[in-house]
Amino acid sequence: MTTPVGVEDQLRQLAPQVLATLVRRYGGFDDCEDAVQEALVDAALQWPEQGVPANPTGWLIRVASRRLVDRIRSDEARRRREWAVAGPHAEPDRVEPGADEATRTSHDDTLTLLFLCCHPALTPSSQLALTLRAVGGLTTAEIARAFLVPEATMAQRISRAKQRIRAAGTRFERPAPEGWPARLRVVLHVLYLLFNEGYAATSGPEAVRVDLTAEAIRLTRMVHRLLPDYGEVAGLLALMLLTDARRPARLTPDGSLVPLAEQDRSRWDQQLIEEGTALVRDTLSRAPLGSYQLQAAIAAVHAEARRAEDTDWAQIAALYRLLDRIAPSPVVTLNRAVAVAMVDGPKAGLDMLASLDADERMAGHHRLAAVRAYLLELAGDLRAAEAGYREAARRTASAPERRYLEAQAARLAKTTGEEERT
Amino acid sequence: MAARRISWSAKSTGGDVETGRVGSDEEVERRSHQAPHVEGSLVKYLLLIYQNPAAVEELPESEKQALMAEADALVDELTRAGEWVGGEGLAHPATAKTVRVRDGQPIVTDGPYAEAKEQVVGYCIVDCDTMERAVEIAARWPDARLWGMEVRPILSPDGVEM
Repeated sequence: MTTPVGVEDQLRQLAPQVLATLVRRYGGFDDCEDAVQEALVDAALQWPEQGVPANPTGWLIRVASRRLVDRIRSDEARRRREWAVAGPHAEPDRVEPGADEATRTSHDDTLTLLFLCCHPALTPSSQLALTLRAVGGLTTAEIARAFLVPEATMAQRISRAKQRIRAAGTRFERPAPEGWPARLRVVLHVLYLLFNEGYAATSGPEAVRVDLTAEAIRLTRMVHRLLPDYGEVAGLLALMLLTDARRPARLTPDGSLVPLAEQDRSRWDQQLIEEGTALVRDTLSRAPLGSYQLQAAIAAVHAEARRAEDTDWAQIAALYRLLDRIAPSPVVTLNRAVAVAMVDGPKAGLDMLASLDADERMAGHHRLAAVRAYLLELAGDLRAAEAGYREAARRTASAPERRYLEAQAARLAKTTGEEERT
Repeated sequence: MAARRISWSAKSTGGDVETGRVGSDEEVERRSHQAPHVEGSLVKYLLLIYQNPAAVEELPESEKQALMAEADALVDELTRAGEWVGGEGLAHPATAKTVRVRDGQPIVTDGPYAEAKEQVVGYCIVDCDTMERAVEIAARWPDARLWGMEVRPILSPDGVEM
């Protein structure tokens, strides 16, 4: 007998295997996915009371198959439509699931499932939602709460995502080898977005809001186990671990954001830091360089500094220079400008920011205004810095970021005010 | 601690950069992910629908019906896409009350807050990937052709430290 929390974790781990088995057998990803959801709900209700069955995977496959039969019987017309697309592999009610099914569905199935959920025909938000449900085994309600939208909205989004996959005529098979790198990049980006969504969360106790950060790490670990030689997978996992390590220090008890430089580093999770650092060090020594690995390396350099003033900014600036070469983006330039300012002085950093004003992706973005304000403050131009923080506060769509930026502006206003009085 | 010091850039400056697989298949990713939004955060948007109530009253009934049907169809489409969060139409601005408290006393006046020709007559909330998408939705709202729509990001309780 396990605790309910244990059952939930177990179910989430089994979900992709069970779904892959069903899709492989019966075809029709759409219906199979719904059937697996129902089986997961059945298990979540029954297992804590009746105990976990001896063969949990077999149990789930059996129940999900039965659910699938029910669904199909209840909608014959739809069945014909979908079977025609997906191909009739077998009639659910004629196949008795074997107990060893789970072992035959290899880990490849989980990857195939991930590729499917991160199909390029879907929008990022649909990819996130479908991945969480089909691969992560979360319920629609949990996903909706995590993204702070009504359950009906999320249900529609997932349903639309499945329709799109069906319309794209995608079969449940691995993409062709030449398409692999591009598709894997999308999968990693979806996991990265998922992590960011979770990391940004400042509200909602865990009981109410699923921890997307933990979910992203779990799924990325899974991909890393399946593809241990892919440097970018290891890099992404390391980046997540090293970022997550700071979580205990990133908020004050009242929910205000604490900037990296002011965080109580004794509260950083050393275990995560060690794991992430070892992972990125190992992968950098043998895999082709990639942007996640570089971002992880940067996070590792931050993590090894006991105090903010011990930060090896020269290393960080060098890493950002590389990142700017292999994966240029305005966000990279923005972060690089901070590192350059720390090494060569605020003027050098401010010069670097100038190029971003012409970039429509960044001009008017609150992060650009915030970084400029920070560098202006370092340069001693407190009035311009104050104006910059105010500008950034106006631009952000995040309540805690606005509070933080307004506090910075107020702090500078007080300083300049005092200077004028004396 | 010094012994554990990591020299990240020593190896990184090697030839790997040129031969690395980054950049090989960027088409797919750029299309679906490198859209103008800079961070991964999904933001909800409030779409305020503006009308000129006097002009609306002048419209023939059939045209009013057509506008409503067009909006209904759009709501239906957004619902099916999983982008629709909610929304409602408002009663005529003539029914509005404006409330101000001065010196602890509420002062209630008839009519909307601002004396403008165009008034808020409804709102929708959408949850979409980018501001560009929110603007695209607003542009398809029939009132945008006749009057205007205002798109406002909704302040999120989430945020990332700097």
